[in-house]
Amino acid sequence: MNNFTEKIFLLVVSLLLAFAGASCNSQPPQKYDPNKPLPVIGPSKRVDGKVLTHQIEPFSFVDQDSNIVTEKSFEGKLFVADFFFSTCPDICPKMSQQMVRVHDEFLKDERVAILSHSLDPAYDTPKVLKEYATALGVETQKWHMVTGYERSEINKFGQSNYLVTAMEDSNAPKGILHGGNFVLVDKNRNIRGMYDGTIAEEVDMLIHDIKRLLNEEY
Amino acid sequence: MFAWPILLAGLIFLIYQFGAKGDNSAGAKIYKSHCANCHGDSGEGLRSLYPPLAGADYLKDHEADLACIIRNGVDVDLIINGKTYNQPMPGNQLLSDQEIAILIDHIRNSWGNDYGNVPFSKVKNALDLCAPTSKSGK
Ligand code: HEC
Repeated sequence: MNNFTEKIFLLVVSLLLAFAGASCNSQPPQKYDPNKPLPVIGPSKRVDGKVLTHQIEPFSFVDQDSNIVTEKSFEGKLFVADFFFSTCPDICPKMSQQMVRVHDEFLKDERVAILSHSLDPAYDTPKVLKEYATALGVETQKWHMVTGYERSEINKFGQSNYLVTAMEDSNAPKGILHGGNFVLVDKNRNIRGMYDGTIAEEVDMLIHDIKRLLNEEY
Repeated sequence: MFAWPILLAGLIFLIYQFGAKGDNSAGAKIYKSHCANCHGDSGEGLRSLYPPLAGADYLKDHEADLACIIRNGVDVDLIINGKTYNQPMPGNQLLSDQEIAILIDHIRNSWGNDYGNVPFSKVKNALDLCAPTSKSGK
């Protein structure tokens, strides 16, 4: 081989090796330290000398089948929560596309549920949410899409409980500014993970962590 | 010589890598920032919520309606490839006539679609005649 072909040859071989190495990497990327239990996220409180972890407060909403949904509906389950609205043009379509993956993955596992809160409760009546859910082809028992409150109430509830962005902003579509987080909540209503619901790789990690949590004490 | 098959494999790999970088045309850019959220990066749509654009007979058969749909949105039942869709699509009042024309050419000729170009004059005409809609914007 002359000098030039030799160089190209080496370049190509190293490229091929790098490619092979990247695609054989079987360990999926992890969001949280894989050697420790998933963290409990959120500010803890000290009451009577005892430390209380951050917990989602009790709630009562109405879902797409006009059923009342409360924290009791999720007893013994872990669930993934997010905040959206049916006509949101920017991030919600991506969030829905990704949440459908969670829905499908755990369709047969009763220990897992999804709770999507509408941030546009006046427009998103149970009927509108039902049409949305039907078009997505999802089951109410697995994925509750809820409404039945004031916009200001749900913004506040989302911020203080799920630590997500949800507020009025005249520059955002419909005046609703919100983040695309998927929040993983365990059966004690502690937050155990936060994932960007618009990014497929983050939702890979969420699905991975749900399985982990199910194997541990969830 | 044994190096040649490997070299070939390497070249194919490189071409593949560049191919995967995809389309950087103006149409692709407008599509990515205004449409891909719902209709998908490859025009695949999302179940019965957002109709596909890839392989959509609608793009071929309703050429004249596309400009107004893109500008004003649409909220009536549409039948695409035999399936009915009824979620509202928001309008795009900020896109210029030119951008809409570029976009129409892009969606009619991407992801395996091969429906040909629509002359700008036709798009402009259609836009001038769009029925005013209450469903404009958000
Ligand atoms: C918020 C989600 C959303 C966005 C963003 C969106 N669309 Fe749509 N689109 C829809 C929905 C929903 C329908 C079906 C409307 C109906 O049935 O009334 C639709 C229908 C269509 C149709 C006719 C049906 C078909 O599949 O051929 C075309 C063409 C189209 N959209 C193009 C676009 C283009 C181009 C853009 C970017 C400028 C865009 N859309 C942005 C949701 C969206």
